[in-house]
Amino acid sequence: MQKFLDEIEECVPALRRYARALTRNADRADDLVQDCLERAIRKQSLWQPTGSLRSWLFRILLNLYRNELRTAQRRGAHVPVETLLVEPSVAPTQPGRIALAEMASAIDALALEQREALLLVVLDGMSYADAANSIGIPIGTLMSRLGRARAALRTMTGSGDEPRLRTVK
Amino acid sequence: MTRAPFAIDADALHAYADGQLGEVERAAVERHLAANPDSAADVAAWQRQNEAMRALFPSTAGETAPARLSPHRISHNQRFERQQSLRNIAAALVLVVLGSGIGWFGRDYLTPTRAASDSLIEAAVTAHTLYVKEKSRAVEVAADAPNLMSWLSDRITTQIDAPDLTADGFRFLGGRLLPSAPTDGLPSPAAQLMYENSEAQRLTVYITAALPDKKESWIYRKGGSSDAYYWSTPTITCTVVASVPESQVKMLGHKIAEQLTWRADSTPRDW
Repeated sequence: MQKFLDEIEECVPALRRYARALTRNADRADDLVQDCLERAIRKQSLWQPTGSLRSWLFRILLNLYRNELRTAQRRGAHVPVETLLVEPSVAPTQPGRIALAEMASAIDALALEQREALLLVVLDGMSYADAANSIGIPIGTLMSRLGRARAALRTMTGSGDEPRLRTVK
Repeated sequence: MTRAPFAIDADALHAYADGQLGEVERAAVERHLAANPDSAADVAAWQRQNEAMRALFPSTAGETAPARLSPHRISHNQRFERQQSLRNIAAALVLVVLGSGIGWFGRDYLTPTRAASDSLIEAAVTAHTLYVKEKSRAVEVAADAPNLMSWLSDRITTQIDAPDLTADGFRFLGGRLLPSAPTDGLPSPAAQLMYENSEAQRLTVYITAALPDKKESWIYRKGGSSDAYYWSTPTITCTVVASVPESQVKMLGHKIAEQLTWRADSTPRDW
């Protein structure tokens, strides 16, 4: 029991990071993580120790987030712009570096299924197998979503144009 | 991303950009990128995207998570809530058992009080209606018969004297013994005293021993042809029935109550 809780605790920073990226709101993100942890701890008997605890937690988080989105859509709610967590703490000094604000709005414009897949793989560094498991899709589907997400981001941020290409080693 | 002969396809390039390849595969992809500038451009763009996303949403590992996100605390709270709800269920069960018990064992004390007064009033009115019509046999024992009141007192196990209402024009005719209503817990039998005034209006007084609860109560009930004025005290119940105006029934009722209760508990009452 204690070990189970310790293992969950190790995942909390990653869950918070992913939730922030999804919701763009630190408080909403922590609410989501709290719901996720409460559910996981209450339903711990449902967790199969054969699977990865980490991907199970992310699956719960994602389901909660999708439910929340559906509810918000029914209510017609939206996230006000000023609450977005866009803090370009690092100025885009390097050539070829994508402006962070531009990137943020491009990510927002992605379809949900592409956004959740891309952020999961990139931010958490989760293996493709675990990520596909968390999202609940076959690995081939995950790969095609990643491909489409990256192509769409490139179009929207204009990072595919010539001058920037030359800066690649 | 392990496949028998490792093929450099789009999936492999993504895996390379995401750092998900083993050493051998990584070297193979790097050789491929060196020979294919288009692929190299793709991979470089994706890596810049990854870098931007990681900068946009930095790791929270350095932050102290709020207490509400502590799994140990959540688990503790859930155990506490479970215990709390078990305690609530237990408390509710205790209340249900207590309530049922009080209801069951207290049923004799709770229900009959009002029903008793209703039954007694009904019995008094019925007896009144039945016997006031009788011209010559209105009473069983005439007022001048010896030992009338001591006989009635004995039978209803309550010491009574016939109230004197001559000042109000009502003459005592006599009385009879009656069974009271066959309801559980009602005092039985009852004594009926009858009075008559110069206009041949009759008034009856229906008296029983006190009810088990020995509570004091006063009830005035209007009827079709006659009104009833009922009261109970710790020593007696009495229902006055007459076909005279309400104010007169009440006045006579108070006089009767005064005389009966004075006789019964030796305490003068102040009306």
